[in-house]
Amino acid sequence: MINCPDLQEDVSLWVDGELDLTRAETVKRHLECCPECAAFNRDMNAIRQGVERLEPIEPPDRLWKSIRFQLEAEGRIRSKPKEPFWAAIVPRNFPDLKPAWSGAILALFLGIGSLLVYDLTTPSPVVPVPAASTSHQEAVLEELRKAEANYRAAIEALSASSREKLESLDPVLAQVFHDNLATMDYYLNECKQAVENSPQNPLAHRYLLAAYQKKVELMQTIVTSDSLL
Amino acid sequence: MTEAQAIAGCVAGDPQAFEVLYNMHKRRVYSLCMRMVRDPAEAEDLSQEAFMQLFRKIGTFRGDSAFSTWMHRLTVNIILMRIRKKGLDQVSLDQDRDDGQDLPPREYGSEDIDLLGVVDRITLEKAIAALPRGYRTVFVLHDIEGYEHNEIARMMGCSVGNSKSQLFKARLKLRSLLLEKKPKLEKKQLKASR
Ligand SMILES: [Zn+2]
Repeated sequence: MINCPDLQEDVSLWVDGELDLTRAETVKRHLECCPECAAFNRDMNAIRQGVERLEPIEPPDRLWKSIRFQLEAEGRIRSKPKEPFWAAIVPRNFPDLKPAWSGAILALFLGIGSLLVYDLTTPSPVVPVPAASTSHQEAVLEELRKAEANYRAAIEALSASSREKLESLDPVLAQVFHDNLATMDYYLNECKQAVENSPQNPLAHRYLLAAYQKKVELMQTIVTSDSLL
Repeated sequence: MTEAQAIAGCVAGDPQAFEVLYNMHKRRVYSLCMRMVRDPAEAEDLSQEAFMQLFRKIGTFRGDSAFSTWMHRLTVNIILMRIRKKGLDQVSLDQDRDDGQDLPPREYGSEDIDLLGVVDRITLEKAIAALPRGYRTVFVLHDIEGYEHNEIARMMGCSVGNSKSQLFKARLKLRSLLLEKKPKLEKKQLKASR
């Protein structure tokens, strides 16, 4: 006596061609006289045909952008020379960030660049630095140190919440911020070096403070980053 | 650019090669992820992880198997690992409670009771998505991705017999889900023809 549910398990194997000849023969004979199992067989074939008609699902465009960004971040992509140098610094997949940060970083970079060129090519200052007295020079440096201290305090105040935020963010976006922070820190150090090399250069002071300002702004952007998405 | 050229280009860091290879495989990888986990955000994340792992390991690809086989095996492993890690109702092969025995009563003997003609793409996608995860995993791997039971057994750490019986239960459940949809479809068609 054939048990229909058991036979249907064999039907399922039979449609896949996974049944030996003897059992396949039993299935075929049973299907001729059992409408229930015959219907099951037709349904199995209908599902099979349905699966063949399934179409691949198109991923959203941002998937490639995220992958490409990660490839760049991991240094797996050789950068194209025709791209502007800041294209590697500024992420492509966060258009909200790009205008703000590309501009800021570009300005800063050009600033430091000109500062370094200026330092290298001019043994004596071209921009006339007023022949200030030693006490005046010290006062200017004192002002700079005060401003630096204020920025450092702001950075300190923002650091815990921005670190927390980075952990909770989408990893790709978090990586963007990490990279931008690293870039900012790099330029901040360049600026500090420039001030150390020429403590009396007002341009060096200006760029150092601008670098601090940009870092604070970036950290504020991170802390409020929900609104970017 | 051929696939082989793209692979060589990726090893050399050519940005275009990565994009070519991505475009060749993106649909299959993303579809697999989508059908296995159902959640678009999760599917995107898994696809990204799959491609990144692929690109990181691409230098070790020896060409002794087809590249697409390698890529899809890698994707399946990533998905199964994620499912296990998250403990997403487990890729349990002992999901016997929900094995399609709750089939609606059927009438037999007339032509119109068949699923033939009911199983359009969208209905089928929805029914697959509604399968319990353990069933869906085996169904997607076997019936959609074309893996053999012995491969599925190896990937999921179960026996071949287990994979076979799980597939049968998946199909049984799928059939019952599709049959539930059938009366609704017929009503709609009736309305439309009036
Ligand atoms: Zn029967």
